[in-house]
Amino acid sequence: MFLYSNRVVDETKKLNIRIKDATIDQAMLKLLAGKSLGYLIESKTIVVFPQAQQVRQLIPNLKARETVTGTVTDEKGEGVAGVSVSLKGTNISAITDSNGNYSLNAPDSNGTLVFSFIGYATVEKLFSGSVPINVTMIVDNKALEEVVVIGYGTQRKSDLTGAVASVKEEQIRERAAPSLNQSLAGRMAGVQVNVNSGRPGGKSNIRIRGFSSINTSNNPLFVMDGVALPQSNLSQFSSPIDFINPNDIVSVEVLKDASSTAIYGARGANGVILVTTRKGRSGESRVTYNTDFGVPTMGPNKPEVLNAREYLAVEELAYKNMQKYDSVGWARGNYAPFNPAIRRANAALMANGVFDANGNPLHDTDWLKATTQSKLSQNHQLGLTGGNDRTTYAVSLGYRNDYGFIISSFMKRYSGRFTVEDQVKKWLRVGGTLSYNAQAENIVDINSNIRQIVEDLPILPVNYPNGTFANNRDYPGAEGTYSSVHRFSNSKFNLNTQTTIGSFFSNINLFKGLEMRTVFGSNIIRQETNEFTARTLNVGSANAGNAASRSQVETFWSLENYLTYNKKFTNSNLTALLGISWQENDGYNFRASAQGFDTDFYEFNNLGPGSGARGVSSGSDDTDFGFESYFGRINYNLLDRYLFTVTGRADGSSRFGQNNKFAYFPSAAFAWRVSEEGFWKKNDLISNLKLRTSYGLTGNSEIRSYDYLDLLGSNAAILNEARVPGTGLGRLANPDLRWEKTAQADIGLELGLLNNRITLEADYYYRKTTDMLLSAPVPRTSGYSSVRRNIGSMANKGMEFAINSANIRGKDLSWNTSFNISFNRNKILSLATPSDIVDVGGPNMTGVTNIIRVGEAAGSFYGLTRLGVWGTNEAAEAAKFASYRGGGKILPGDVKYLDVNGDYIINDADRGIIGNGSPKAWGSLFNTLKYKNLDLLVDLQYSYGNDVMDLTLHPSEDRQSTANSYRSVLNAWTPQNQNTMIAEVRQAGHTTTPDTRWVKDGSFLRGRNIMLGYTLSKSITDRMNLNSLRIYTSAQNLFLLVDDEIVGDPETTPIQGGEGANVFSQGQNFHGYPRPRTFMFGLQIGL
Amino acid sequence: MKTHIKKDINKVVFTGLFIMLGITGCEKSDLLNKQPESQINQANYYTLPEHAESALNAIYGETRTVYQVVGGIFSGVYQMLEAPTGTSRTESGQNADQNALHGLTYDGNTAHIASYWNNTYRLIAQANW
Repeated sequence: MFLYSNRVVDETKKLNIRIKDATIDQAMLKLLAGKSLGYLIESKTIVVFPQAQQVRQLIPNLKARETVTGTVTDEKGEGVAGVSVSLKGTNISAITDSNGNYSLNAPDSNGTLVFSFIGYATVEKLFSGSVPINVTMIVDNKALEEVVVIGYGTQRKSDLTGAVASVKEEQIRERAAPSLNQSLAGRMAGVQVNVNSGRPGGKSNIRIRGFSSINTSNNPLFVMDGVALPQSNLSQFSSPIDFINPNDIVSVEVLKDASSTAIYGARGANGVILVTTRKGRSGESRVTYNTDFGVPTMGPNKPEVLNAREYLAVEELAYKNMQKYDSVGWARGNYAPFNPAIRRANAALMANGVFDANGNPLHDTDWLKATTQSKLSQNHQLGLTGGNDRTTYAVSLGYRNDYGFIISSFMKRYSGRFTVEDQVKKWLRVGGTLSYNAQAENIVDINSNIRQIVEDLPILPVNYPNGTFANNRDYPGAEGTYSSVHRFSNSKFNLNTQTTIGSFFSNINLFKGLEMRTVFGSNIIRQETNEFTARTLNVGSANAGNAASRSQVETFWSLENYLTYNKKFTNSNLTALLGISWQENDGYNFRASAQGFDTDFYEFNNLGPGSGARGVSSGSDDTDFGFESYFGRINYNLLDRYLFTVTGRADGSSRFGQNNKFAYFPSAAFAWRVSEEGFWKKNDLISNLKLRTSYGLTGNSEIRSYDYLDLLGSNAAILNEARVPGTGLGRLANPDLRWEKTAQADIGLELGLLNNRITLEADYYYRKTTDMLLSAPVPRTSGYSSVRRNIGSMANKGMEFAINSANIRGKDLSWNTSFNISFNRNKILSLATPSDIVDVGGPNMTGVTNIIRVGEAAGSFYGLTRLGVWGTNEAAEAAKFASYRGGGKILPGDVKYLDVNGDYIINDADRGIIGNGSPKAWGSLFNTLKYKNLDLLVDLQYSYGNDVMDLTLHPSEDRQSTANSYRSVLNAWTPQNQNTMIAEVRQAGHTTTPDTRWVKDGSFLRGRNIMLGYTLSKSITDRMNLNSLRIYTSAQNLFLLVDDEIVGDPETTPIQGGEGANVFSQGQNFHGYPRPRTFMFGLQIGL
Repeated sequence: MKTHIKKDINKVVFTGLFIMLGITGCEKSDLLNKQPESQINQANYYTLPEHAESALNAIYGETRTVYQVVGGIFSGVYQMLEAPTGTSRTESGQNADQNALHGLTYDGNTAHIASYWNNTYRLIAQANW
C-alpha cells in the first residue's frame, strides 16, 4: 500500500521502470532517483513525501496505532460490502469486504469511526481499545435525496421546482410486460395509461393531464437517454416506444408541469417522458438472466351469445314478427326467403350435416372457444454489466415470443443492446449506445375479424365433414360472409418492425463548474406491413386472393450541444444551462398491392402474379421535418430553502407556416422548503414540507408536415373511354399556420411524515390550450370546405395525489403501500364556429358517436335517450311520430326515444350528450409485503366515472337474426314482457343508433397484477455458485369488478381507434382484441 | 503549467469540433424549409401545356364526384329522390339520414343534401380554376 499526498505526487509524470528481483528499497531508490522525494516504509505501507518535510508531521503518531475491527451488517443481518469506514478527523479509512468485515489502523486507542454507504444513513461510533465495533446500517429513507432526471440534466428531488413523477427499475420489473407503456400504467398520478387491447404488445395510449388537442397528437414526447423519439406514422397507431425492449429501461421520469416541460418547448405540451436505459457500472461484473413464461386464459366479462337452440328460436320469432312490422312487404312475399323452414332446408346445409331431417341443429359451436388459445409464451433476458473506474459497459440480449389469446396472433421480439462509457481524460468523458430491436407480429384485430366471433352462427360447425370451413354465408340471408376461424386461419396482417437506435455523447469539463455536453443520436425505424387474404375468403370474384406490402422507413437524427455551469456561493447555488439543438426526420414509404391470384402459395411474397382487374398497384410518399432550437435554464437555490427556476426555449420548425417559423416558450417556477426554515422546529411528525408553484408556456408542433401549403388534389376523368388524370382543387394555404399553445399553472405540495415514512405529493393544475388547429369553414361557394387555422381553445384542470407509506419496516417483515388518485376535467372553451364538431370518435356507421361542443368535455358521447319500448297501451302516442324506422309506422314493440322538443320527430334536435369516456377519477393501489424471503405484490387499478359506449350492441342486440346475437335479446319486448329496453325482435327494420342504452357505467376495479415471489437465501445460492435467485408467479388481470352490464373490458377502444381522428374513442367498445387473464411463472438469476 | 495549456487546447479543439459539426452539418435553410417531395402545390406545378390539360381533366373528374354523395351506411345519391317520394324502401332503419328522407324530416344538414350541394360548388370552383 502506498500513501502519498496528491499535491506531492501529482507534479510528477507517469514513470515506467524495469525492475527484476529487487528489494523494495532498491526499487524505490530507482523510482525516486533525481526527484525531491523521500520515502519510508511503515508496516507494509510506503509513505512518499517531499524530502524537506518531516515524516512525523505528515502522519502524526505513526507508531502509536490500534487495529479496530468489526462487521457491518444491514437490517437483515447480512454483511454489507463496500462500506467506507473512516476515522473522524483523519484521512485514515478502510472499506468492508464482501462479508462486511473491516479492519482499520488507528493512531490512537480512542476515536470516532464514521460508517457511510450510498443509500444508507451514516453511522458514527466511538471506539476504545481493540474491542470489535459492529454496526448495523439502516436504509436511508430520505427519498428526498433521490436524484431524478430532468430535461438536459439531473436534479436532487429535494431541489425540484416542477411536477416530476418517477418510476424506478424494480417497479418496471414487477410486470413482465412487453411494452414500456404497460409497465407505466397506474404508476404515476396524472399519467393515464390505457391498455386498450389484449393483443400481445398492448395497443396502449398515454395521456398526461388530459387532452390538449383535437387535430394534432395528444401523445407525450418520449426522450430516451437524451435523444427524442419522434412520433412516426407507424401502423396501428403505435409509437416508437412500443418497439423498445422494456427490460433495458431502468428509470422513467414524467415531466408534467410547464416548469419541467418548457425546456422541450414546442413538443412539451402533452408532457415529456424521459427514459433512461441501463448503463454499465464499475466493480465486479454482473450477469443477470431473467425469464418468464405465461399462459393467457379467458378474461373476465366474456361476451355471452345465443346457443344453437336459442338462436333458432329467436330466428323463428323474428321471422314471424315481420308480418306486424311490414305487413305490406310480408303480403308481397319479401320475407319468404327468411322463413326458417326454407332457410334450414337448404340443400347444401343438409348435405353438410348442419341439421337433421327434422330441422334440429346438429352442432352447437362455441366460437369464442374455437378462436382462442392458451399457448405458452416465453421471455428471456440476458444482461451483462461491468467495468472499472474508467470504463464501464453493459450488454443485453432479449428474446420474447408471445402467443396471443386469439389463434394465429403472435408477437416476437429479438433485441440487443450495447453501451460503453469511458473517462478518456480527467476532463473528457465519452460514451455511446447502440441498440437493435426486431419485432414481428401478426395482427388479428383488424377489419371485422373479432366481431365475427360473436356473430358466427352457433348452428354451424367450424369445419364441414369434407374439411372446408363453414361460414355464415352458407346460411341463406345471414350476415358476416366468412367465419372467424376461417379469417384468422387464411389471412395475415404481419407487422415487422426494426428499430435501430444509436447515440454518442461527450462531456467536456472546460473548467471548474463548466461542462459542455454533446449528444448525437439517431434512430431508424423500418416497418413492413404485409397483408394477405386467401382466395377462399373472396370466393367467386375475379379479384380473389389479395396481397399487399408496405414498407416505411423513418430516419431521425439529432445533435444537441449544451453548456452547464454550476457555481456554489456561500449561501446559494446557481446552475445555468444553455444549449442548441438540431433535429431532422425523413419518412418514406412505399406500398404495392395486387389481387386476383390463381394460387394462395405466394401470400405477400410475390405480388407479380396478381392478375385481377386492377393488377398490381403501387404508391409512395415522403414526409420530412426539421427542427432548430435554442434553450436555456437557470436554477437558483438560496439557503436550500428558496428554489427558483427560469426556463426558455425557441423552436424553429419546418412544419410551421412561412410567417411563423419560430416559437418561444418561457416558464418560471418557485419552491419553498418550509421545513428547512429556522422557525420550523425539527420534528419527526412533519419531517419535510415543500410548496412549489410554476407557470409557463409549451407547444404542440405535431401538426402534419406541409399542412400550411396549398397542395393540389388529384382526380380522374374518363375521356374517350380512357382514364385521364386531373390535377386541381386541393386545399387552401395558410402561411400563418403554427403550433398549438398550452399555458399551464401548477401548485404542488410535498409532505413527509414520521421521518418520511409516509410521503405525500399533491398537485393542482390548470392547463389552457389556445391556437388549437381546427378546420375553419370557408364559404362552400369557394369550392373548398375549410382551411386549417389556429383557432379554438380548451382547458384541463385537475388534481393529483400520490401517497407512499412504509407501514411496517421490520427485520423480517416489511409492508409498503402506495396509492395514487387523479382527477381531470376537460372543457372546450371555443371552436372555429359555435357549431359542434361531430366527425370524431369511433365507427359511426349508425350515426354520430362523439361530439366536440363548446362548454362540454371534448369528445363526449352523443346520442338519443332511449326510454324503453313502446307498450301496447301507448299505440296511439307512438303512431304520432314521424317514422324513424325506414318509413314504417312506429308501433308498440318499437324503441321509444325521448322526444326532447316534443315535435314528434326523432332527429338531431333530440340528441344530446349522454356520457364521456374519460374517468372522473382514476388511480392505483399497490401493496408490497415482504416476509423473510417471501414477497407479495397486490397491484390494483381503479377507474371511476368513465362511461363505456358499447357499439357492439348495434349488431349484437339491436339487430337479430341476421347473425348471432348476445343472450340479452332473450329479454326483448314481447306482449308479455313489456318492461324492457330491447325492442321486439324482427328480421328487418331494426332501429339502431347511438343512444343511452349503449352507454354503460364503466367504473371498475381490476386486479391488475398479483405476484408472489421467493428469494433463495444466500447460503443456498452460494452453494449453487449464484449471486441471487428469485422465483415468482403472478396473475395479471386476475379479476375485474364492474357495476354495469359491460361486455368485455371497460378499458377499450374500437378497432382502428386510439389516435388521429379517433383520439376520442377511448371507452368505446367495438370488438377489440379480448383481454385475457394471464398466469405467469418467472426466474430472476444473478451470477 | 505547460500541460494545463495543452489540455485546454485539446478541450477547445474538441468543443469547437462539435459546434462546427452542428453548424456545417445542418444549414438553417435545410432544416426549416422542407418542401413536399411527393405532393405538388401551385407553386411548382402548372409549368407545361399538359398541366393545363390536366386542370381541364379535373373539371370532368369533378363532374363524376358530384354524384359521390355521402349518405351513410346502406345509402347513396339515388336515395335523395327515391326515398322521399316513397319509390324506394329500406329494411335496415339504422341510417338516421336515410330515415330523415323516408320520414320527410330532411333539411340542409341531412348528409345527402349537404354533400350534393358541396360537390356541385366544388365542380363550379374547379371550372373557374
